[in-house]
Amino acid sequence: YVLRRFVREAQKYSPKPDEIRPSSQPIPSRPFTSIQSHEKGRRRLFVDSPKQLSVSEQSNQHHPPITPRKASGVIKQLFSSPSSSLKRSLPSPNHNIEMVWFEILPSLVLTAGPLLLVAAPAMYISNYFFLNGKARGPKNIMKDDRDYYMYLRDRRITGNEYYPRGVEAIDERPTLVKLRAGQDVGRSCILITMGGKNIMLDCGLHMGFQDDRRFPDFTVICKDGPLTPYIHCVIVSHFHLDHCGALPYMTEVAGYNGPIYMTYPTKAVCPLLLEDFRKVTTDKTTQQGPYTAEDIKNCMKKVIPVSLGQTVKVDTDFEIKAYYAGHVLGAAMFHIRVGQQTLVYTGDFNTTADRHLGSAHIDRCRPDVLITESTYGSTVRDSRRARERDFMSKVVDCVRHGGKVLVPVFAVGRAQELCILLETYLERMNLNVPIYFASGLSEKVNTYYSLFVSWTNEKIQSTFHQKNIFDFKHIKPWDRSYAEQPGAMIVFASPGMLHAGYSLHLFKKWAPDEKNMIIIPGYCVANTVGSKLLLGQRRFMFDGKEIEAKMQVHYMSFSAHADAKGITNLIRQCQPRNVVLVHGEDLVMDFLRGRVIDELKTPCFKPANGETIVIETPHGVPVDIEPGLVQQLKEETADVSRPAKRAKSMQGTLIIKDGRLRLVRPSTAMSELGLVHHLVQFHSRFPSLTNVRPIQLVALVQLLEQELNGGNNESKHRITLISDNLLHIDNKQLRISIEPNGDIDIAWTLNNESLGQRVSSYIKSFIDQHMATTNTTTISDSAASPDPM
Amino acid sequence: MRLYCLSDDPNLPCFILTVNGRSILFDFPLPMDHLLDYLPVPSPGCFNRFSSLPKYTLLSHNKENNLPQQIDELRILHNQVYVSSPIEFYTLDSSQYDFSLIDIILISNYETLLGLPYLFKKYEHLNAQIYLTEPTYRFGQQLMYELVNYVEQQSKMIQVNNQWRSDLEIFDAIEEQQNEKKVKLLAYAQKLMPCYSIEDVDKCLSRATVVHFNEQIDLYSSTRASAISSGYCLGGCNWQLDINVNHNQTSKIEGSSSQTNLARFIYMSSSTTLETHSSKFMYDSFLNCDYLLLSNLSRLSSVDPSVNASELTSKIETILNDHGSVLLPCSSTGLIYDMFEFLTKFFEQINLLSIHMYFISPISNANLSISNAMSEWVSEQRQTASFSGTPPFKHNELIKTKCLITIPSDRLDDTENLNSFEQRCVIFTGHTSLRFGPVVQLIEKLKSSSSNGIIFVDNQFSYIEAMKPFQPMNMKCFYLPIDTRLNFSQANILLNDKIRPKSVILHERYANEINKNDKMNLLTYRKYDNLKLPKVNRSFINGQLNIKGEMKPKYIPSANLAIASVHGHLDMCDYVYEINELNDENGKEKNLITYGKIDIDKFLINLSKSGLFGLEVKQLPDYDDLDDDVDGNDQSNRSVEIKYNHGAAKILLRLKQTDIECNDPVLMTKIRDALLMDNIGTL
Repeated sequence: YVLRRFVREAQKYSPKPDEIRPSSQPIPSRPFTSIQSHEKGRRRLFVDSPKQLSVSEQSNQHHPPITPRKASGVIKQLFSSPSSSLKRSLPSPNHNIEMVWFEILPSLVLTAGPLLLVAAPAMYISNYFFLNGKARGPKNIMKDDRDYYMYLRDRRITGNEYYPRGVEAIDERPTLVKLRAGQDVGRSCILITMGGKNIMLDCGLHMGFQDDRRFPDFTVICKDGPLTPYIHCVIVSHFHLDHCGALPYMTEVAGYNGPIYMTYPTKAVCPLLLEDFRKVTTDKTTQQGPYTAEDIKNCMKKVIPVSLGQTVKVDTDFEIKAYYAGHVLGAAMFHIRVGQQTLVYTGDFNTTADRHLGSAHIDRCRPDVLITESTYGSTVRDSRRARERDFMSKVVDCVRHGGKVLVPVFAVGRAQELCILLETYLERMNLNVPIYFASGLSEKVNTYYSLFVSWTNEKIQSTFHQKNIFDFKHIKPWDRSYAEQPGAMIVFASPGMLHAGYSLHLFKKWAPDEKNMIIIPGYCVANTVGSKLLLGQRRFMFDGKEIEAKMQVHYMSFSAHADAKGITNLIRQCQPRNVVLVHGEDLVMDFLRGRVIDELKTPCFKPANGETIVIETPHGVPVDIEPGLVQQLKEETADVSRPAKRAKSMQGTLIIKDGRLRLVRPSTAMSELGLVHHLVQFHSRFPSLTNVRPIQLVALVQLLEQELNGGNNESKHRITLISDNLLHIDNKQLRISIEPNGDIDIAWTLNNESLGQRVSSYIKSFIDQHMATTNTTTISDSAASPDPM
Repeated sequence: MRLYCLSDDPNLPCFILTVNGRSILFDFPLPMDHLLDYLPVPSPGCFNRFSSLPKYTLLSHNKENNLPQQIDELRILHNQVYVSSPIEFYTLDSSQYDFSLIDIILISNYETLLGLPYLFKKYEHLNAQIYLTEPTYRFGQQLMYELVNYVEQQSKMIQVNNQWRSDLEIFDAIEEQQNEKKVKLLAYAQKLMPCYSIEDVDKCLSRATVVHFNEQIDLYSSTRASAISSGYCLGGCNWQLDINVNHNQTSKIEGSSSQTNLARFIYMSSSTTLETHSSKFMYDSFLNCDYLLLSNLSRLSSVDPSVNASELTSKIETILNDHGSVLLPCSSTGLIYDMFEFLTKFFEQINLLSIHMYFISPISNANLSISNAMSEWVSEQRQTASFSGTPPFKHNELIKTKCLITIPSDRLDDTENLNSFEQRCVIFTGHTSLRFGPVVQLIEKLKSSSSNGIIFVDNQFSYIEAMKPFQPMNMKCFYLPIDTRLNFSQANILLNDKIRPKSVILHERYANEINKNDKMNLLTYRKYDNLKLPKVNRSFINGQLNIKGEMKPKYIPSANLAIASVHGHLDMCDYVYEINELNDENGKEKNLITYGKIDIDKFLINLSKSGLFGLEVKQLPDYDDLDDDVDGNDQSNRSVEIKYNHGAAKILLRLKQTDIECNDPVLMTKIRDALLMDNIGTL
């Protein structure tokens, strides 16, 4: 058996033999609370698919050494190399394999011959492996950090922008998962196995760490050596670092040469942010950093840009398509199709259009699985207009009193939104306050916006050839000398978390003046000045000097995430068969999950970090049907009632050759294969009785009609009287004829045995009765014959 | 599938494809060939010497007062009849086909959609969806605006009196009078319509759906379209249609690509294998397609555009060295982007600094900014530039350094603006027909000096005819057409060696130039032809097999394949075929198919195993298989009769049939089992 062999092979590579065990063996008694299995109606083709889920997480205290990736190599080998032994059908119901990674389920291994391996593995099962968290979660660093918790609480209320929370915390024990829920700023990195393809969705960075733990643990995929053989493609939804930050690390340090897909604007903007991140994190003295500038360049060379709506063929029967997501410039949702299975990954998305971006849109594509973010899954947010009004009134208030407004922003994303807001507002209000944009990148970034105008909202698109909205009239580039200028001004300064650069410089200068104001429009990572400021700290030490921040501090979220309404609308629009929530806090996801299940009646999953879930996607196997088969069925059911038509069963022969399946009529298959049909016919013969008047077939019709079609029998039989001495039942399935010598011959084929025997017994008893009535002599040797009348 | 061909000019492609009961219109260009019969009209406010030309006088047409009748609209110049009226157009639609029934309009590039506003104006019930790429949409919109703009300023100047057109007698009279020359304009004079308005353009474009290359668009359930890059211009595409041929009615195209019942129809419009500024020509998915509709090949059979390009630079150099100005009548988008950069580079090379290039068009600025925003549609090389934050084209840079000056007005004042063209410079402007737009005025201005030159790079109009009204002129004139479209030899290589379509549909004018190939079915069309495309038969229907239980395929070594018997329900809903296997063991048992021969010895052993003894075995003569060429001596092919218990059961074994005669069900089951056990092949 292939499977047995495979298991044996797998065991060889597996350090823990208990990883692979028959399902009959009881799994150690650990709570299974977080397993979300969706076992109903699993269908098997030839191989009994593995049944269990990621048991290993629960079964091992430590982070499980997820080994079967080696085994997967074995599977691949098995699939690709023609095996020497001829394998017959391989039902092995007793062997369920347990695999965490690469749950390759050879559901359609047609093992008829070495050349006939139909490689369509994992037809019914997709496997999601969430890499977002690992056993060594961030729990240690912030347990004592009360400020951080406070800040988190605050953040939960106000939401965040730049580094939204990720999928939940991680622990070995499910009970602890609950405790730690929502306390980790995440990174997005999702691994998917569908139809035998391993796809990585986003490759994000964790800002809470300073060492390699900020990257996803690629050793989960492969202990050492390049990742290329294990991952078929990487898809990056947008350019935020928690979605793409680990990409250079993955390609250059961990080693990955396969295709990486992102949209055009993402490909353009992504290196800027990566470079920015590299600069900040690289040690100035030792030049030690996560990756080098060269790494970023090389990484971006591997990126294949995609356009909205374009169907990209990754491989045969493996396509991806991008939809507009609206979150930031170039953010996209990806529709992935492998064979029959489809999946939509939303990345981060925004369903309401803002000043420079449009709203997310997706077709009614009915994917098997929708993986959606759920950052604001439990809130319905106030309108954008209200937030803008609030922001403007604060700014105007401050500048009217001669204060300076500092808005720390990141160079891309919300900065442009706020710039457009200020620009249009000031134009309307006729306020003459200088606005500056202090960022090394600003000008370049604004160019990107005008280069990719088709990714902005419709209003900008339809007017950009008259007026480029990103050529700001009032917003001027910053010069260091402006900091000393008296009077009101508004400055956008990067970076957004006040940890370095222009924004920190200006903060130091302006903080002591209470006329001034700082508005933080996005999320700040712990321990940066920005986050401390938001947590209420007002005294800071800079270069041995203490500065007291008297300026007004405001936090205002201009986040571009969909809220609960938006998410449910998207789900409704897309009509998935299953929903998976990621990228949100545990409670939020719980809430949303309930809503999805109750309102949309869609199964919804909420995988914890590091958890693997298996979702079944029942699909048929594509077959080519011979038109003659359909035609034959049509003819056979031409004059039958609707329910009978429905019950009509079909008989066909499946021919499997060169990986294609064809369904033909049995006769076609026979002739194609050079096989000669051998008709096996049964006869029941009742000799004619010379002293009795011959039995008329017409009389039999009545009898059979009553016997076969009387009562509540579901399947009716069609009785046709062909001629005086020939009677057909069900279109030649059974024939009753009266031979020239008066014998009654009942003939039926092998397939109609029960019918034939029934009919023959009816007739027998009929004849018996017939004789009894005419001859008054009873010659009956059949005690079991039913009463004919 | 039928194809209506609406145009006689392969460079003016317009087709209607009807497939599965729906109509798809491929392209709707605006015919411009008649423009040369018009008199040039300079911008308002300029001196219009053409307005004082003598009116056309009909000598014979004197009904009442014996005076020769003069027709205001027709003027004589150089012994030729010209129309002096605002430009009007005719369209390619014909009454043969009801255009309001069109469901889908597919546009291949911005040159081939200029007629669309007429279509939507004329057929109010037309409810078609237009599919085009984003550059096609944006540039097309701009080009329509430009056209409207030019014509609008004309109509302000010239009074219209269209009466002569409705009078057929006048037609006859003109023909009589001009008997030595054919008067082309009479052929379409009655079809002419005033130019559409901005509202018409907007109304028409509101129907547009913007698509991307390789985006799969489900036009309706049995037809799927995708735009494939043609390389000709920004957003220029060829259309690929995947048509489900198995049903007359709609039939869903499933997502899977491994489909066998799709016919591929390729509509190939302007395409080029040359490297230009736009993304390159893709034809991978065209290979071995079923139908290929070929149109819009290069007008020049063999001239290599690069030869003309180098010629162009040398001509420009001589003119500029002569302190003259170069006038390049050209379209407001497309080739000029390459020209700007090409010429700037050239000027740097030959050290001709301080040369200004002027780009005069009402849409000049808009087009330049649109082209720079189309970074997803440019060539890969230019894409890399946009990834590093620089626009794909260098226009902005050129404008900043004053190398390129755009004049976004629809008219040129006689006074100040024109004076700046007296210094040596290169002027790009339209319209290429030289009948309207700033070019008219510029020719009038520049034609007096022999140091100036006009270079025709566009070959849509005959340059001799175009220049005729301006004669006499002193300025130099060169004809260096740059046509990047595929020429015949390229098309031949592409068709015969690469794409290898099963049927090719092309204009009869092309038929002689395209090499015939016995594997390729060549169909030619003429105007108003209605071609019936050869049917493509696919022998299979795509279905879905849902397997419930376990299937045991049987391997057949001789054919190297496996077979399995399927017993289930076949459902068809919306023409999606689905087979749901019955998970019913009895059903499977019941539906055995037997094949092969019966091994009699084995059968007898099996029978005895089931407790049937005392069999009478009798060889029978082969009365049943007389027709067969079976060797009668072969034991196994002989018929055998087996009797048990004096006729309680009689088994007749023949080559292809076994009859079991028995009245006892129990006995019958025994015999059956003995027969099936390791003997006859079952499925």
